[in-house]
Amino acid sequence: MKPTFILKRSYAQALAVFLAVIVSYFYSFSEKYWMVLSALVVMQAAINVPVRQGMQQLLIFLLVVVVGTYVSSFASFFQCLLLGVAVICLATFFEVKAWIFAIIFFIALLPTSYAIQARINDIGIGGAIGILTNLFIFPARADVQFRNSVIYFVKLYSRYLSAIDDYLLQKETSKELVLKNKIELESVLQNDSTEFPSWVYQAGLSATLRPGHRHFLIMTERLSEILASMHRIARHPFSQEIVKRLEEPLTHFVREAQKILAAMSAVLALNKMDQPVSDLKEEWIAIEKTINDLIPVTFDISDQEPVYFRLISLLEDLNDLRHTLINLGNSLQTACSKLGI
Amino acid sequence: MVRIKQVFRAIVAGALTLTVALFWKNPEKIWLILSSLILINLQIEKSFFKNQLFMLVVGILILVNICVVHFFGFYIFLLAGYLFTTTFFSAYTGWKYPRYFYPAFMINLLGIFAAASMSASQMNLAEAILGGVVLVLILRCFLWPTTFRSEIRVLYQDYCDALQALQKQIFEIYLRRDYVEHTYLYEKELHHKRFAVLEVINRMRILLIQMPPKLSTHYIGLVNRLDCLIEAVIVLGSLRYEIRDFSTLEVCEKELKAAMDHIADAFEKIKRYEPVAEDFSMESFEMLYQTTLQVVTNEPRVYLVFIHNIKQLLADLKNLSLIKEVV
Repeated sequence: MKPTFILKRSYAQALAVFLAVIVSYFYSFSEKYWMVLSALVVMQAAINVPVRQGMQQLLIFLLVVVVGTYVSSFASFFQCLLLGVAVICLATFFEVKAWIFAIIFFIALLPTSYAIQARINDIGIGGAIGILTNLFIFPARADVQFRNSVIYFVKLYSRYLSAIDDYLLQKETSKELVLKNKIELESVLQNDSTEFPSWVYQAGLSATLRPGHRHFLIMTERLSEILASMHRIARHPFSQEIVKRLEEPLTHFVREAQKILAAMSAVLALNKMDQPVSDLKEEWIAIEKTINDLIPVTFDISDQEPVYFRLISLLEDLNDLRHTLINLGNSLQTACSKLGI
Repeated sequence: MVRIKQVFRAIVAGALTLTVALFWKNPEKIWLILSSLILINLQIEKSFFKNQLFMLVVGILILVNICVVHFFGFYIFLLAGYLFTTTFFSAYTGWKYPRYFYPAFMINLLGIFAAASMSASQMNLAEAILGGVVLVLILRCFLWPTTFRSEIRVLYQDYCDALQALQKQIFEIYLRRDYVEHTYLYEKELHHKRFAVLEVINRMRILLIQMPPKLSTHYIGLVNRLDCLIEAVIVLGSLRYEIRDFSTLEVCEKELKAAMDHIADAFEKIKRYEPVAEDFSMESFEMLYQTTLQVVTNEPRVYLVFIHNIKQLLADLKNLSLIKEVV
């Protein structure tokens, strides 16, 4: 994520807490921290679905506090402590968000002289501050966020593809390079990575952006599958004769594919494309011919020679790569024509 | 398995902390409990010593934050300004370094909670928080030290579960055959299951870096094999975007089900460190390909590759079951 984006989000969160502290000082109905805590928790909503996710967070927060307050009204202090500790312990089975709500529940169990309604009012006001801050203070623009994330991924895919090509053609130091690129890509494809726009899969994303963004993300994830398959094939080296025959058409194909990826990056960055790109049809026909020449006519499924299966797998992977890139290119073309780019 | 260990540690810490809190005269028992339960599961994937040090630093930061909140508490705008600053840094840390989100968030949350406990004596507060930190530091000496070998075994189990779930999801697409109508839903599920596997393998790689060189050399071969196994499962999913007519899969439904069950069975065996038997034959699938699939489908080659990939996966699972490193 861009540093300016992180700074803006941090500032928005801090501002929400600042406002909640001031408002709670003058207008709180119960303990002053409830308004501030609810603003803080609501600000953790997914960046591009502020209203729906913010409301969800707020409702869970309310539920947790209402139940905690209700229990504390009839249970003894020790029983409340015991229940609070038990809930925190059980919450560690789940993800970090559950731990946070468990701590909130524990705080809600503490003795209070205020009614449930008073806490609900404070939490509602805090939640409203959080949601409004998310909406109006440096609001995250889903389309910009998405494009920036995808540009980053497209560049990673391009480097990985180049490394796999070198590995297939058994060039020097290719094994270490391809592994390095693979690990870099996988580390970014982690759930807690801020680079991957997994918020696209969350409920509440704008209905106009949703179908296009999701389709595009599915296609880009498909690229990672195709490259994983090609990497798997490359782990078992072909003979020198096969490598020699494959070198030219494969290098040409990969170079044209990388041009497509570079063009996609340019378009996503709202720049013009430097040069027209190929649809990879001729390049794929050349590879298909080369591989068909390498596979004997008598080859069939009962053949035990693994190298022929690997060649066919490679051919299918390159075909899938071609179709996926064309699909992505067409999606961009439609989007660009609508945006007037 | 890792989660169950976390819950167990939290329960032990909770029970001990409650016991100490009951007999302790300090009125700020809440802070003792909060600080110990928040810190007990703080593990930012470093060595045991570094984890202890990190936890101590977080405990001290909580204490310092609360003391400063009390110091500024006399004037609301000063307090609001201070909480603005702490929230900013906590949010920035959480965004920039996601693995530090939880400790940063908790330091901030406790600071906000403390802003309302102005009547509490600072000495009592400091005593309670430091008491929680010391309690957890001692507890972790008994609950935490696990050998690298046991950590790898735990991650291995998690890996098998996650990869098995991914494989099952892939075969479900082929057996249900409504992928075209519900593409997004299936892709979302695949996305989550793929992430779960990558997360585990990433943790294994991090563990390899933390191990002494002699030990990491011992396990690196295993981790590389597990990495390759992920690719072997992922390639099975390529059929879903290679075929145009999903009704063709009805022809080989029985064979697909048999393959899925056998792969699931193989995963169960490797989880229990048992050898995978070579009693499953793809002959009926191959025969079906030669007699029927080649004729009815528009993409015969993709089915050829698919059958080959299943055979390769089964061979890889069998080879993995023969490795001694995890036993």
